[in-house]
Amino acid sequence: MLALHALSALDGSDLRVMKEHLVSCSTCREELEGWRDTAGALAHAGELLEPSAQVRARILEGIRSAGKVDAASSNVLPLQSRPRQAFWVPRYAAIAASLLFVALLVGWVILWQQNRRANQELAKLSAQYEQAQRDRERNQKLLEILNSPGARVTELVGTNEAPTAHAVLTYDAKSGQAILMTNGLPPAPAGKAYQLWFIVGNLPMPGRVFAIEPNGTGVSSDQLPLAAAKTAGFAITQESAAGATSPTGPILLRSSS
Amino acid sequence: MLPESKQLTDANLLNAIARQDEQALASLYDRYRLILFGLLMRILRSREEAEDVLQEVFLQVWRRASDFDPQRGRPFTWLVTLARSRAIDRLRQLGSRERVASSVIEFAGEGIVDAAENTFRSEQRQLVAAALTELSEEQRRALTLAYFEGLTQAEIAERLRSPLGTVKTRMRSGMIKLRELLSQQMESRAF
Repeated sequence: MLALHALSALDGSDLRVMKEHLVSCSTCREELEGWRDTAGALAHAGELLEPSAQVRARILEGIRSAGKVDAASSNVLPLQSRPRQAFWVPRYAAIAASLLFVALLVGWVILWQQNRRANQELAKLSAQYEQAQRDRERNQKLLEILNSPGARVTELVGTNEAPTAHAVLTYDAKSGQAILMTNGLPPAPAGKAYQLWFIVGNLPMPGRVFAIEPNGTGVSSDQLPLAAAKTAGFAITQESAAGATSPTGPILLRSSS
Repeated sequence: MLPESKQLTDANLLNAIARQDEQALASLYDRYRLILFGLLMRILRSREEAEDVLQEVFLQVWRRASDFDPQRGRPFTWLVTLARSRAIDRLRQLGSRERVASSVIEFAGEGIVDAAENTFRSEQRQLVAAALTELSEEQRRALTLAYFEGLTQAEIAERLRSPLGTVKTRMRSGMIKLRELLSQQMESRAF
């Protein structure tokens, strides 16, 4: 069903069931991305055709116009000149109004502070909940992989570049689903990230990039290419945050096999 | 600004576009205009419509580049999915399926025309062309109707006058075989 969904070919009850399932199943959501890669490859089967030069010009003009509209809409309207206070307003009314204004301002500040504290607490709880959800999904996926007939567990040890680093890659050799867990790697500098590589023969195939948590651990879900799932070595390097198509940095960890 | 945009990865370009870098968008357009326009022409069969949708796609890329998550998928897949979705939406708006239906074109490897001998993405094109020749005619035809005409499984079954279950099986087995073949061919090529 996922393969057909990647082609947008599902309809009726199949489509409804698939959409409902994807909402709650992160594993299938990830697998769907793999099928979309396969479907997307079909675009290479079409002809290469040159659009007219005006298209490029219209696109660039379009984004410039959009920028102008955004800029214009974000402009702050000029303040209207404040009307003069009528000379006949009694002084005591002005004093009362001032006191009321101060009281309202103080009340507003108190409420704003309380609201801010509540929002901070809510954001903290929300982050904890999301982290717990991610941990639960990861553990569930890990169990699924470990229970699969093609389950493999490979250890990656740090090279001289990262002697204290250590990682474990758990994967299903049949489906290619994999989870990488690392520790001992420092957080990557700004603009950089770590990247997993699948080595088949002398061919390094790119895996996903991942970040290191403040506690020094890193966890990443990946999808092994079928070729890599059968016989492969694994390595980790540091690359740009967007990832690389071939390794540029030194190998920090590698599998022993 | 991007002084050496030709050397940047697609993900680098999308990051720059998310920061509203106009030159990055121009570079991404230059990199993919041929394959995307070819795809849109294949779906829409109209230069005017295809150029209009191509323009919409890149304006959408400009607005939505920050939505792209490199952890979830490849930039090319994101871009081509965006283009195909818009083209199929346009096709449905135009109600032109019947017009297109009468001129289904198979995309067997030997039938692929390489416009202007362009070497753009030639390796991927060769891989896909070779993989497609390995599929059965029925599998190729079902995938063609789904991908290039946006037909659903039920519509394909009706078009081919085949049972729905048979069509589902052909499409699924075709996709599995395609994925395996592409993976094997990637394996046989060194960096």
